[in-house]
Amino acid sequence: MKSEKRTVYLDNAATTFPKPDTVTNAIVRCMRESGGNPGRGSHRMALRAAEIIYACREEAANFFGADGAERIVFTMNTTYALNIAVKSVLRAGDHVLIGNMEHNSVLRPVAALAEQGKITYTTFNVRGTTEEILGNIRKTVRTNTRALVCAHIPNTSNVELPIAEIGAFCRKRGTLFIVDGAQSAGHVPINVRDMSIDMLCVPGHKGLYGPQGTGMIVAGSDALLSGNTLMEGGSGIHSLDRRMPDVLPERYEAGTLPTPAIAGLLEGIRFVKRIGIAEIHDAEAELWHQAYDRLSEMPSVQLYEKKPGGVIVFNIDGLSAADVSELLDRERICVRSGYHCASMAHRALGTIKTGAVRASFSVFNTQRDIQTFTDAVRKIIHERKKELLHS
Amino acid sequence: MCILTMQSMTQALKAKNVLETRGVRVTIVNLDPNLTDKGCAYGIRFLCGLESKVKGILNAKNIPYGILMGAQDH
Repeated sequence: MKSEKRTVYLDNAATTFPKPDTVTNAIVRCMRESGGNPGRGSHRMALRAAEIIYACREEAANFFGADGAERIVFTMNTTYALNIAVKSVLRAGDHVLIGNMEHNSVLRPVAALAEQGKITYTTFNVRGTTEEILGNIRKTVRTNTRALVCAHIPNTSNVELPIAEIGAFCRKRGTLFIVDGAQSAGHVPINVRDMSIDMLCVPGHKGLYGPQGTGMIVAGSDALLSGNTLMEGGSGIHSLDRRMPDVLPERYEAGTLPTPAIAGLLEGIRFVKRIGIAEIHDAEAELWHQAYDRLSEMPSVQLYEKKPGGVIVFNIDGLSAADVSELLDRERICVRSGYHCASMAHRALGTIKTGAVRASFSVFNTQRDIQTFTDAVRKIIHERKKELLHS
Repeated sequence: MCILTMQSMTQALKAKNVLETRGVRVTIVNLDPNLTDKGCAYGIRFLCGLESKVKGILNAKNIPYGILMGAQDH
């Protein structure tokens, strides 16, 4: 009997898969045993749910260096977190600086405010040495620059921005520093206190190995306390007041939180802590080296990233990125093609006309996965050559 | 029993965790909405006589709290 081919999942920058068993088990256990509404009442079931939420806040605060569990605001994902961060603190007439490789989750909220005539924004080049990047920021910053928003690691690159140095610059100047940690949380150390980050926006379902539907803002300062709310509704406290409470995190958490998902996220963060960020980073870099070495032996493959890390971005001559992705999927290999919701990043990479294919790794990938993946790329190139010969 | 009003459920849980590590047994309670200006609020309930200890621990940990109910002034 022919055995079924195994699926190789290399789209971990979009969302990690698989999740640790501890994550799945925590979600199921929460669904079965802790189904009350957290923060709504003090009966035993509501309290049990609230305790799970609080435990996750505490774990996350500890993980990211925040000064207390109340500084963790849960959101649905990084995009929601960034929208809250950006729109809560910006005022009419403000100027914003953003990196030139930003995901749409940074670009679109900022661009929307600019289109409404409320703010202006400028981009700065995020590539180069630390001094060059700081120089780019100094050149573009203005007297009315209220905030600097940038990705810690862009989603089509392994370039890590000098966040601590940018944070120190912003703190000294009184500029709010908002960081998109979508691709860095769980991959590299982040400490909001040491890095002078006012608001760190991270997903729960990527490098923290939690379920989809989780994300958070880690408040590194009090900037959010006086911010505008984007969503209003029940918060479990101050029910006679028409305004949202002026305390964190309740101010930004209108409506019922997804307790089972947050129970999973709690175990995801614990999983990352158990393995260790350095170990995860090294394991992914090793897979990257293996993939890079094998793909760079293939003359038809264009590689766009020379720094080791969690992603490898490439194209195959004569084939569209979408075709490559589809052909790999036929081999049961999951990668992502196109613009990755990041036109700015593709413009910077020089792939704005074609898009590209992105393979991204997690701690669950193996050398065998990379072998299967690169063998499949080689096969696609071989088949393409055969087609050309016979056409 | 004495009750100390808390800013939110998050702060009530924070207080409970901190106090229990210091040997103070605490229960989180939903307060009578009429006791507060803004409605729904939470408090922590503990044995009267521990007020000073509880407040001291919360102050040391910068955990905000509101009014104390059920205790005689000492």
